[in-house]
Amino acid sequence: MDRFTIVQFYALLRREVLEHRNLFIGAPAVVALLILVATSWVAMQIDETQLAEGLSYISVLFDGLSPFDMAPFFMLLAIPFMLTLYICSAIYLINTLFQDRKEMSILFWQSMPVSNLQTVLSKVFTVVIVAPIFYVLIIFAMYLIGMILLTILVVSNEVDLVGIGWMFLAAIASLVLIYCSALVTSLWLLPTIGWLLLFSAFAKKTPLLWAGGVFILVGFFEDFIFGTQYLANWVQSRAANPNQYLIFEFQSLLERIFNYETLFGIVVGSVLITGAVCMRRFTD
Amino acid sequence: MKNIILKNRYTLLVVTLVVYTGVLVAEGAITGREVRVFEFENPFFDFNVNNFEEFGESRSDSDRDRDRDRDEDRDEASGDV
Amino acid sequence: MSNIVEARSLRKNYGNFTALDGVDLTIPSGAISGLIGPNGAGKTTTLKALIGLCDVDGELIVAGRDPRRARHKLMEDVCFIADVGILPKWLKVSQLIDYVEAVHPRFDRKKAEKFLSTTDIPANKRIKELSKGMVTQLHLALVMSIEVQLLVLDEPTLGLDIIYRKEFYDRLLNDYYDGNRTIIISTHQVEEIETLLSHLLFINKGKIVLDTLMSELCEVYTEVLVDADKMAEADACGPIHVRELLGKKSYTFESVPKERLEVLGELQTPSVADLFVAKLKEDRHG
Repeated sequence: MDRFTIVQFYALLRREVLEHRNLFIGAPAVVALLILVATSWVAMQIDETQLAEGLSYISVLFDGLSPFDMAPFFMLLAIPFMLTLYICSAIYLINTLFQDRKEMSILFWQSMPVSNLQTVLSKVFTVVIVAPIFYVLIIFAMYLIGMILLTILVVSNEVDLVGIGWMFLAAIASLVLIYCSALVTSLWLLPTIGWLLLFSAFAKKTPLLWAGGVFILVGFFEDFIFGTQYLANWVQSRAANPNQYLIFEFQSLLERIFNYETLFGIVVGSVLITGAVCMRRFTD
Repeated sequence: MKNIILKNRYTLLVVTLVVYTGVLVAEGAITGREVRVFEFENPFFDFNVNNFEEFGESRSDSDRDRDRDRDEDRDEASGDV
Repeated sequence: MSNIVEARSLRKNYGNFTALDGVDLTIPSGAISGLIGPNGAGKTTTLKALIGLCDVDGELIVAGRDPRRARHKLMEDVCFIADVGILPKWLKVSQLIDYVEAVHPRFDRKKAEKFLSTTDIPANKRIKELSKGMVTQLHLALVMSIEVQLLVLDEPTLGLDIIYRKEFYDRLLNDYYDGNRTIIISTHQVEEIETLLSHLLFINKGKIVLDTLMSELCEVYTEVLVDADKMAEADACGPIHVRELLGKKSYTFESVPKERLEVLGELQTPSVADLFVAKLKEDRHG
């Protein structure tokens, strides 16, 4: 891959972020603000003595423990961000290959020497690699502001600051865990990513309705033609357990990626993404 | 064949869905796929803040066990060579 | 002279509607080619086929490539402006320039900025905040800053007022065209471009009804203003079109020797617009 191709791809990613900054920057910023406001409000309702006891307990809890061991505690705070990321990613994916056909700007995008493969891959990369980076940065900003507020509280309540420092380090370490969690979940959900992109490229109207409707129909067809329910079983197995969407420890990362189900999902997702790439040629 | 598949968006969609369904049905038939919930180990789901010390010890135990298993695997492998 | 576009038997259907019905055309390199036709004739479909935005049956080579196989490679040598509204509205002008600079290997940013400095387009405005005329100026500035062999313009001045339209074609001829580049323009506003053209294509109901160099037009087509006493003689020469004109009749002939027509009245070469009407009506009756 030459330097120009890399510069081209970076420009495509930049374009995606600029076009959808509400989804990738605005949405997590709103979530961060709500969490900060909510926790500040809760802290103001608590009795001062109880607050000092609570802060002491936290300080002792984290004092001297490895930030990487304690990082998983912050995954609870990450849950609203992860949910927001998945919802925003779904909105992005179902619209991204549809909107520019609807407003005819596809005629401009396709007048540039950028292949359909590069275009679709840039959208996959945006969801899998790039969007989580912005979410993590905003979570970091939230932790920073939260830590400043907490430090003020701790100092004014004469609680030992050192444990709070360890807590902050654990929070920073959790950012890596959050990013990896998002990355691994995206790989797990690659079939969904491919499905949404396929119908975003296909539909002339209401892509979400097409995506949902055909999803149900295909299940019926399998039963009707083959008399089997492997597709339904596969979907049910993959969607059933919320544990699949959050990673709480670094040690399990490789196991999450390099297991049969994830790798098979990547194969299926690739089939659907290939369909989306070919579908992109139909510009009307 | 390519001309038929890429004739219009509808033929392409049908072909993509046929391949998608075919891959899943074939895999299901080979592996005997049933509904199965995938359990990934996640000790923090069982965490209770009142038992933090016990939890901390159990985390150290599970780390020791994992390290011991890894060393045993390494010894077996070198023994095979 | 080599041909930059060679097309044989192009066919395209949209459901029951036949957009292209066996289109054959060749466009010589370095030409300014006008593709003229009524609504629904197949102009846009033809142009989109040339740049790979529309799949068609038939043989098609543009700048040495088949647009259906390697569109994105072809786009390094071809630029396209559709009618005014296709620039993405959410982008800022500066972001658009950054994007084109990053993705197009032949884009010259300094040239684009020089062209834009002669306009009133601010770099930090979003495209949706620009007027139609400014959007066209911006798109043209970008396109003129890219070194390509072929420029395809599909109704580029649609909806613009006369000042922007005149400026568009002035810039195209004076700042862009160098005799080596090829330009294909499709438009309804025939009178505006007929003085620019070196090659003429008429399309009607998905078929090419005229494909000629402007230099050969005067040799093939003749318009004669015929007095009342010579009309029977004029009719016998087999005109392709007759129209009333201030008590006389104007006859248009194709491939009739001028010596035979001189006796009928004053000869002139028909304007592209008049010839267009003549060919369309011939097509309708013929």
